[in-house]
Amino acid sequence: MGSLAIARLSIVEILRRKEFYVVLVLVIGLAAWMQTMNLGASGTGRFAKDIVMQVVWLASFALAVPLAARQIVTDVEQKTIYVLMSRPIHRWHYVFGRVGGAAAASAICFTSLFLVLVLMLLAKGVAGIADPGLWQAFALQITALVMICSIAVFFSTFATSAGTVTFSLLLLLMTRYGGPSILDRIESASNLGIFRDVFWGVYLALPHFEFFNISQRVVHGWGVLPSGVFLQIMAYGVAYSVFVAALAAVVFRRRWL
Amino acid sequence: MLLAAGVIALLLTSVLVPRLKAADPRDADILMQVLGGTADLAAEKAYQEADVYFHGGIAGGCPDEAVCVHGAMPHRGESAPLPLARLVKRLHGETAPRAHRHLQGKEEKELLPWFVAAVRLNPHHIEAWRTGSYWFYRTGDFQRAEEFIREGICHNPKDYRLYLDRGILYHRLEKWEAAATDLERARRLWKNSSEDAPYDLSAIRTYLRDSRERLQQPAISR
Repeated sequence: MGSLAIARLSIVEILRRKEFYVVLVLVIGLAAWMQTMNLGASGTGRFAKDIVMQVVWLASFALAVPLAARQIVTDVEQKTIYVLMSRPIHRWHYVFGRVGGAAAASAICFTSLFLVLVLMLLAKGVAGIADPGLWQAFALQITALVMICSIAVFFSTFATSAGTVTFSLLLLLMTRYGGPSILDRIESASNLGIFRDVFWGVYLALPHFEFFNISQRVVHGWGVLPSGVFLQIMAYGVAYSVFVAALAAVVFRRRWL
Repeated sequence: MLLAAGVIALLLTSVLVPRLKAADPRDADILMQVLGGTADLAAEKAYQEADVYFHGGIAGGCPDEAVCVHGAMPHRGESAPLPLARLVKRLHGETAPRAHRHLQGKEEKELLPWFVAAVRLNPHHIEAWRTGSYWFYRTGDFQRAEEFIREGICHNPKDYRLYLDRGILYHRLEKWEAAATDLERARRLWKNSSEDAPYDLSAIRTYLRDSRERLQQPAISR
């Protein structure tokens, strides 16, 4: 119950701030521009879908990371933490509440931006909301947002707000866009001996955001992700988020306030 | 904070302001002039993205479907297999498939916006003009193909390759006289400036000779 009340605070906070509305207006503008502009082939939906989808996905991360990063840091700086901790709640309630709140607020922002994409696809009359792949991508992105929020809250238990944003975004970009190539490099580095196994262990411990990026499949019509694979990735995302949030709770419990 | 403001001010004064002053206000693309090299990079990326689209989302396609789609492990000498590597590779393969395929039929129109974007970002991207014009022709929009390469020639009037491509386009459209005029112009502007230039000269001669034959004019002397 304590976690839910704290989560509610995070949702109220994002709705009060202006960043989300600015991003929403920009995405609506982009979608309208994509709808009206003639870039050589009227009726080609793939280009518009690709551009708006990438922008919506990246914007949702850009909103989620700073939001999650400032949750605990702001409470400590503004001394709100003492008011919250004076209530009969455990510290892990507080941490899980902050992770849940940041994740829920990010999911609300992402859903609003996603609706713009859906409306644009409807207006274009291309394969859009009827494509189950799009909804798989939506669900995977929500899970990825939960993951990044828990990672950002974890970093914020011992780092500054700016450091947390930097670490989280570095991890996100490195794994989302470089995941497969890192794997190839480790695999081919047979001359490294024991270090190869160490690198491999580190690689496995990293959050694999690349699994959650199926935009290429959706945009280029590669079909629906097999349900077994989809469930595996979802389970991985949830388990990773819970593990990192628990780790954040452990670190926060040991922290002197 | 002050340091950040200082760095931004320095960037503005040293990079953007001189570009802004040098920009010609009569040119509609002042923003592109100010952005400079960034726009060129974006143009190159847009041009490459057309190739990615043609291969269904994969740059250059995948030579080995077993590896790319099914996550099969390629043979890598004597290095020991890593635990869970097969699972990770399979998930990579499933989320971002890499099988080799090409767009076909009406789907090919999906490439066109990238060529338009590339030449808007960098009007001197010759390959984007050439390839874009070809794809407009290939998708059946002959008028747009002609307009597109004409616009390219307006931006790059000294580049023989654009005249060669417009000549070939006219040849395909059986506009022999226009083809011969452009190919003759291409021959005059031709420079041996790249690896492809000798092949281009052969193409110019071949198409020019054929166009003239169709017009019942004497072929050019070799």
